[in-house]
Amino acid sequence: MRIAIIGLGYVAISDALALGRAHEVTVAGPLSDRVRAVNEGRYPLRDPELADYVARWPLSVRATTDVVQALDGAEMILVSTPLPHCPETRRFHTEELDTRIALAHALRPQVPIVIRSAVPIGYTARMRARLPEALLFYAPEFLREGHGLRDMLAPAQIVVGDRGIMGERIAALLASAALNDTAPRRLIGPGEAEAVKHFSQAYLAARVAYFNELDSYAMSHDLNARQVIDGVCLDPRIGGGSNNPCFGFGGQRLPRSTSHLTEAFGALNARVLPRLAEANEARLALLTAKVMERGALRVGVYRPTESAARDALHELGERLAREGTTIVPFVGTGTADALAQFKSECDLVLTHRMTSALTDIAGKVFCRDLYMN
Amino acid sequence: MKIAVAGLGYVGLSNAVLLSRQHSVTAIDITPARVDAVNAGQSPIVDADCSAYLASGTLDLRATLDPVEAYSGAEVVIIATPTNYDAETHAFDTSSIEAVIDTVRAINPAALMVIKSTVPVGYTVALRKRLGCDDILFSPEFLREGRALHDNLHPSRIVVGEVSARGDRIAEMFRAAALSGEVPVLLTDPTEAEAIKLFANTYLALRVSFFNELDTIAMATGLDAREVIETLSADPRVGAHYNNPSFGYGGYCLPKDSKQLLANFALVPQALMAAIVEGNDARKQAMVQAILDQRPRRVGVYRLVMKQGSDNFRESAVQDIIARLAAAGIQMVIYEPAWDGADLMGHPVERDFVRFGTECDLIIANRMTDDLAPLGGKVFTRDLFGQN
Repeated sequence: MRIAIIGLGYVAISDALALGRAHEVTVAGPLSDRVRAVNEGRYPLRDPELADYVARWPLSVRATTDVVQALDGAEMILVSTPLPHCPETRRFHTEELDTRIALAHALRPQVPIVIRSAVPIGYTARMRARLPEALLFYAPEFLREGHGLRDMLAPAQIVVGDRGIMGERIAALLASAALNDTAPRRLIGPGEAEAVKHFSQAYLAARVAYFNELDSYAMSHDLNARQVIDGVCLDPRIGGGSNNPCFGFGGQRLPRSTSHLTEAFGALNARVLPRLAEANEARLALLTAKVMERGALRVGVYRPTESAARDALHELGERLAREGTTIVPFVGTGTADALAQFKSECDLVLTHRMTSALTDIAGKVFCRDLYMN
Repeated sequence: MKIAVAGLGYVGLSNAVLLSRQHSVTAIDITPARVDAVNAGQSPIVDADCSAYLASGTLDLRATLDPVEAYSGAEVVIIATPTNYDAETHAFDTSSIEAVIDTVRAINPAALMVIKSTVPVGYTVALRKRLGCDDILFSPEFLREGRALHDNLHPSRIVVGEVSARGDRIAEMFRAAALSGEVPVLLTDPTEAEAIKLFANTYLALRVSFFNELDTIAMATGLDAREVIETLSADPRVGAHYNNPSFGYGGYCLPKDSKQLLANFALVPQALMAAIVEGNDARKQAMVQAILDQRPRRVGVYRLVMKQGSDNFRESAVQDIIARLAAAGIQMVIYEPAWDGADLMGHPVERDFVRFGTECDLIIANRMTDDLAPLGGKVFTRDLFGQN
């Protein structure tokens, strides 16, 4: 099948690579650097499986900046566009996605369009009302950042927000991207599919926030947090995984989904979902106080790699700066000399996870990584 | 080994039965009826496994009212007396534990005492210091009501609050008494062991609240909650258990433990712990509103117990809903076979199920049952999966 994918992010690229084994895929987006990279076989993913996969399978994946050209002859169109989320208004900006869907529909009116971005609940219904002739569907992805390709190749389940024949076709397409067609296919309503995506992020956010609050309690009462977490998680109804304390749930997705649920349903009789963002705030307040207790004047902020997304480490650094602490940022890709300099000039180093690069100064590292995994 | 068990509630009785399969156990309680029941081979609590073991006559178990008989010569004393937590004042009444400890020390100062009762976090360390006695350990119980012995025979884990050789010996005593082969054992410091119970139960309360709020949102937006939950639960990180919406979390442990944990946080910054406590209240309010929206003339309340197979009304979510519906002027009739009285919470109790079904125009049930199936259209429940 000829498939057009609009978007060049990690969801789009993971989709393209996994579908490119069995289908003729064209990805399209405005970033000419990325387009060139894809056409030269340098795929913008950090997945550990990427090199093996590309070496093993002949792929039909082409990239272009020209959306019109990509859509030419396409029998299915996948759209995954970043949805900027405004933390102040707690709204997703869907304008660009709206435009891309409208364009795809105008150019290829008979071709099904499958939304892959995590749209707000009710979006598919609204767009269908606006474009009544369009064959518009939502199929959520459950890709973990850094493991998107693996999750496409071996999905836990395939979910499509359509209970009818088109849902079956789209599920079959996604199943053809997997290496083994063993994942259960689940055809559900469009709003239900949109909700599943956000609730799944919110569940993980709640879990991370819970173990962070447990850790805050342990830090404040001088308890061994790891003993408590081990004892709690031996309950099979609670289980292990996603239980290692951190500075706050972050990345792009967890905060967006929790914020969306807060915005959309804050007026309902619910307390846990609307409070998840506040849990991050509370965590930062405690961590700021605990770092300040250490009396460090120059605090280093260590990151293994450059990251554009704001996360709890950013927030913590900013809070400390407001308290008059000097913040020294460092990215792990820097030179050995720069790292040595960084270590010697900082009184305390914040890192999200403990790393071998910092073991020699473990005494002045501040992190809440209890499991080092 | 000779073991004494103080308290014949569900924690004490299930531990007494568990350990008397291999050891010589004397259980002590202040209620003659409980003592007599045990000595007659009957269970004083509703627990199918306890009843079966007691009736089998294979246990080395005696019950008594006499402390000298119970504690003399016992190497280990398991303390499982009731401790009441007042959620309003956050005061914990641990006097029953301390009374047992005083008696044991007077009669048998060599005994090692293992507290199984629920205690406040920090209790063991403070008590040891106050009494100048180190022979007190805490080991949390992780039992479900109605399945207390089953959960002791097949424990999820054994936690003992002392990292020491005798801590190891106590853990081994419980492990050897279990039927499951592989039981994880964890020795922790005393206060950590006390905190585990609260944090485990509060996590379960969080999980219940999460799925209840998902359901509240689905009801408000017309989404199919069952589809959303089934799909969500197929993610192995979420899991397909403990995800059935209800009127709110209830029972003896979850409401009490989550409130207690929140109080313990005191000045520690948090948001989720408060949300877990308040969220249950919000859920009940959402349920009351949904019931009132149906403008019922007379509401039938089907069962007050939280779960199938339990005889425990304590803190069941439906009791709060009854109180709120009553405040809104709704007439109610209660069907609760486990209750002998003519009325409950000021509402008449109906014993005839057929009459109950006909005289009410709306029936509320935390959990759906086969009995209720013929009344389908009249039943208000959020039980989506027909299970606890």
